[in-house]
Amino acid sequence: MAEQEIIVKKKSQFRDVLHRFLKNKAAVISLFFILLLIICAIFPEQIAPYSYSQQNYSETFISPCLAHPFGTDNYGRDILSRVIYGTRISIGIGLVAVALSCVFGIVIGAAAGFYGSTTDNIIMRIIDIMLAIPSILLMMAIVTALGNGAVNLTIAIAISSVPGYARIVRASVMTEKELEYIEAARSSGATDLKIIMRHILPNCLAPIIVQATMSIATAILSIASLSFVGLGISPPTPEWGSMLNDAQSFMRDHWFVVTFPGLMIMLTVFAFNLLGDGLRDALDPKLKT
Amino acid sequence: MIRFIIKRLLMMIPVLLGVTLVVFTIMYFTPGDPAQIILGDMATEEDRELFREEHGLNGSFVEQYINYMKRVIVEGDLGTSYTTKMSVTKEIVARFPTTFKLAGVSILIACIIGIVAGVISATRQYSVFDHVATGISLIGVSLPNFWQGMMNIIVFSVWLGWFPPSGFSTPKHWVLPAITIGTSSAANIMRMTRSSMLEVIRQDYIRTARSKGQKEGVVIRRHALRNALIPIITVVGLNFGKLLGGAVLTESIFSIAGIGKLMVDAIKAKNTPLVQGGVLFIAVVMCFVNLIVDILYAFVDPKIRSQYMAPRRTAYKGKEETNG
Amino acid sequence: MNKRTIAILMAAVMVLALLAGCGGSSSSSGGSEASSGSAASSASSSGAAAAERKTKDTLTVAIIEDMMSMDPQETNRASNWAIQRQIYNHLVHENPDGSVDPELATKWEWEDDLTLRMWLRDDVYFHNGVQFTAKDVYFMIEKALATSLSASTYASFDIENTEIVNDFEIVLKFKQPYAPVFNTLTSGRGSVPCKEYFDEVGPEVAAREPVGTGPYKFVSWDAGTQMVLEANENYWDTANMAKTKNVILKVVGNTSSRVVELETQSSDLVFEIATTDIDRVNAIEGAHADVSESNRYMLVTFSMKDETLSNKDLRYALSYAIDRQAIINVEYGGNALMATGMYPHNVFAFREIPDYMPYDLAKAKEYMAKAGYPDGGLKLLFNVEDREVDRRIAVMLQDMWKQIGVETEIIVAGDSAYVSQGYSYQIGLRAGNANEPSNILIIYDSAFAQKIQGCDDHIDSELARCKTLLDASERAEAYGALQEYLYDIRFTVPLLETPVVFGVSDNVEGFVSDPLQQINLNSIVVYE
Repeated sequence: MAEQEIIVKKKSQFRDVLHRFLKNKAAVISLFFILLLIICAIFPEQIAPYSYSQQNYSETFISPCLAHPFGTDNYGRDILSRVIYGTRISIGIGLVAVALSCVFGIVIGAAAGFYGSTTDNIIMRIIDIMLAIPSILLMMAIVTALGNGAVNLTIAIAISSVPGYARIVRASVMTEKELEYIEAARSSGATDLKIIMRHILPNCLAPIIVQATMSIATAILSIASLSFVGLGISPPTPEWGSMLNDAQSFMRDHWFVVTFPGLMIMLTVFAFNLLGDGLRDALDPKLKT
Repeated sequence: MIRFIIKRLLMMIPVLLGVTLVVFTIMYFTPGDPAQIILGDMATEEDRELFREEHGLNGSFVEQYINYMKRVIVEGDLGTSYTTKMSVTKEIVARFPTTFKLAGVSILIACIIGIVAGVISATRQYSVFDHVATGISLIGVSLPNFWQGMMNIIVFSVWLGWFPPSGFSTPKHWVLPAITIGTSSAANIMRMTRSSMLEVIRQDYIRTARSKGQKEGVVIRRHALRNALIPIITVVGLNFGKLLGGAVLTESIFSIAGIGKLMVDAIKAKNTPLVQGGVLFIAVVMCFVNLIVDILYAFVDPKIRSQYMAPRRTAYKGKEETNG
Repeated sequence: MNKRTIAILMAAVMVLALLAGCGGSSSSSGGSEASSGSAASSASSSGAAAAERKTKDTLTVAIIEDMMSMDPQETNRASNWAIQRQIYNHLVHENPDGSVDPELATKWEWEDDLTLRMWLRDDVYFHNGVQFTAKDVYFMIEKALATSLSASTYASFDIENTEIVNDFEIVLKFKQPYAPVFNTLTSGRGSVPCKEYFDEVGPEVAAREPVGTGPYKFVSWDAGTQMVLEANENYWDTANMAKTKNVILKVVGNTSSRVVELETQSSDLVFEIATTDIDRVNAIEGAHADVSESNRYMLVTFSMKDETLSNKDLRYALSYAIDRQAIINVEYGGNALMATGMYPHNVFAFREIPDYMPYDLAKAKEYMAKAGYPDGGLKLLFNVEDREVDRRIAVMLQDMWKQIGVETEIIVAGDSAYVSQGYSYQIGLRAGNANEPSNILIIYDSAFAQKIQGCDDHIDSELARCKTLLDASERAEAYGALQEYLYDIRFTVPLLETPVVFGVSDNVEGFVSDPLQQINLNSIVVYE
């Protein structure tokens, strides 16, 4: 009976959240846009009209037209196709990096918040150190150290976004652990790990989800920035930031070579930010502004 | 208050030590022989050996780090840049004024726009202005600023010819880069102002003040804004610190010789002493900005002033931009 | 909002506007800015005849990067030497045809193959008033041999036995006969520094505030932004006194920003215009592109030590699959020359190779089959330096080689970063920039085991021998034969020669380009 009640309560809670989320049209639209991007990232071969690498020197710099809606680049490659293939990198690396940093951030933040005192002090000092180094420089240094490539890019971005999670999780855990039900769980003999996993984390899920969504946006910007300085994926694989970097010297004659990849970055980041805002409002109506 | 400042200054020491260790480690394990990178491929092995000797690159990791720290702490010497053979300190000091000016102008513009727009948005929640401003601010947060810089050059200097596309000599040159890096700060500040104002406006004492018949403007300024100021100061400080660390990509696009560009070039060239010195310097600057922010809290809020006997800063839980 | 808030805001806006306004007015009042010059020029040209054109006292030059050092022996960048030569002098000047003109040295004499006696001018003073003597020449060689950035260039100089006869006479000794000696002395590393100044202020200051004997004096250096020079009124070479009083060297790193410098008339002279921007620059009213031959060439390199590439047929296949004309059209807007031999055609002892590496897919595929890869299925590592043009050419090559079934993985990284990341060289791309065969061909030397990873004894011994051949025709013959040998083994594929392109304002007179961009600013006059 009691268990059923909890389930019902959970269900209705979820329904509340969903209801609030669906009312936010901007967030719903961004969710659809993001789903579209994910589909592009999974099935670029089916969606893209042309190959991303096929060069055709007789069709360089064609302005946007029916055959090439975004135009072609300096090698005569279709920009739309390259933008579509580019989602693989941006979305792929963005998601993986955020997942990685999320896991590490939660572990570190939970440890700091739960155990307090010395553990907390050490962890927080390390985080202070990381925050004292501008993240773009930290990422650049890490990528230069590890070498270019998707994996190393992911690692660099993941490392530099760990502190954000750690701080948020720590703050939530610190407030949660003082509450009575934790005391109750502890007295019933639950282990620390169990208490953290079962009781504390589920209750600070909301800020983590919001932070994760927002940090995908940040990660995509970081990927683009790193590629823009030439620390990214090796050619001919398309990536939005490196497309901008490559097209920089043609931008004055051919506006479309830099406009569309840049717009894609902006729209994607914008969508994740909107989604994050929407989720925050839906998950935690108190915070609604 | 002074005790608080001293305590904070002391707390900076381990952080800065940590920063040197982290950067030293990363740079040490970065593959590539600086001798080869600096000398290029028209050099022989003897040339490279000579270079390594000149720069003391032959010891082990621990030896090199200890030597480096000894020099930094005892002599205050950050080493010599591999490429220019100039002392790192001089190199940084030569670039910092530019970065400082750029960051100052940008943050000033960003504060004015951000706070004003945020206050208006909050006081007229759900109005057209609010929707438009919130939308624009979210776009501002989402813009990759290297792209925005490119677009600014195309539009304002190539097409319209209003501002020069590169350099940083006269205030006219400042406009485009300042707009480019100021945008995301302005957007951040606006969002924070709006949400923290909204929170404050709902409080009882605002209602009380209104009911006492005070003018709306006075209520907003004297009561609401003042109480909403703490998170706003946090964001401003955060953004200013970031800008002082160098608007890395923007400086490259506008060919501005600031800290950010210096650092990017140094990382790419594996100019280790310069990277270490530069990052350490930026870290010091950021720590000081944080300290100033904390001191400002005390001026704004008497409650915090009394708390400084046992300080615990509330962390700002907002979005953090990474692209500079 | 009440009135006070609005007033504060207004004030802030006005302060900003004022700042911007200040910028505008200060730039138009300062004669150095071109914006004022242009307005004046249109007014004066309509009124007065061209003969009465007024000259400006400041020449503004956009350069591609900040100087690494102003100590000529402490840098290895041609862009730095191009600026240093305005401040320093060389002992001699070697012309492209091999003849040598006196500069700080008035005459010289070979006593034997290892001994060169030089007589120096006795009327030359450094900018700090110290007289130039043989001590400074000795100091230059000594300094060059002690620094990693110049030691290998001066390796043949025998400093121990070099002897200062008197203040204006020096006997240079060599460890072995050294044919390119005048080239070395003419090069950027041959700029003569002031010993006394170095002793007085130390090398660090001397490298930041250079003192030379040249037509321009150093005034200031704003790191990363600009350097200011001023005419040396006591220049010894009165025939070549600086014609414009001040020079501002502005660092504009971005290629397209340098074009904008011309468009906005912010600079009178601009270094390194991209070949694809030539038409754009020529379309600018009041400016043009100065295009001339260079000593620069692009080449693909194959590692001599790589097992896969030791297959000669494979190397031939790769070379025939390259459509060089397409690269020239796409990358250089048609403004580059097809290579016709193993190095730039205007360099000493160049040998043209008949029917040099034609683009022939059928032939390439034939060689692929002969090499044992009839169906392709080969993957090679392709290391590319982080330079825009290199990266773009690499992407084209990647696509061309794909046509014969060779996949390449492009890794954009500096040489050493590349090697230490655990890769070994297979294919590389290189931009060569030198005007002396021994400097150009040094890349094949096993002592320079980098991209090509030279390990050919025949090449090594020939390179060493050529340097010692003091007779020009004998040397030319030896280099010619070596070039044919290099073509046959084909570990390199020289693709094309890139032109030197300067952007020049039409108000500039007396500008003469140079294949290595080592131009002289003292002959330039700028009209308003």
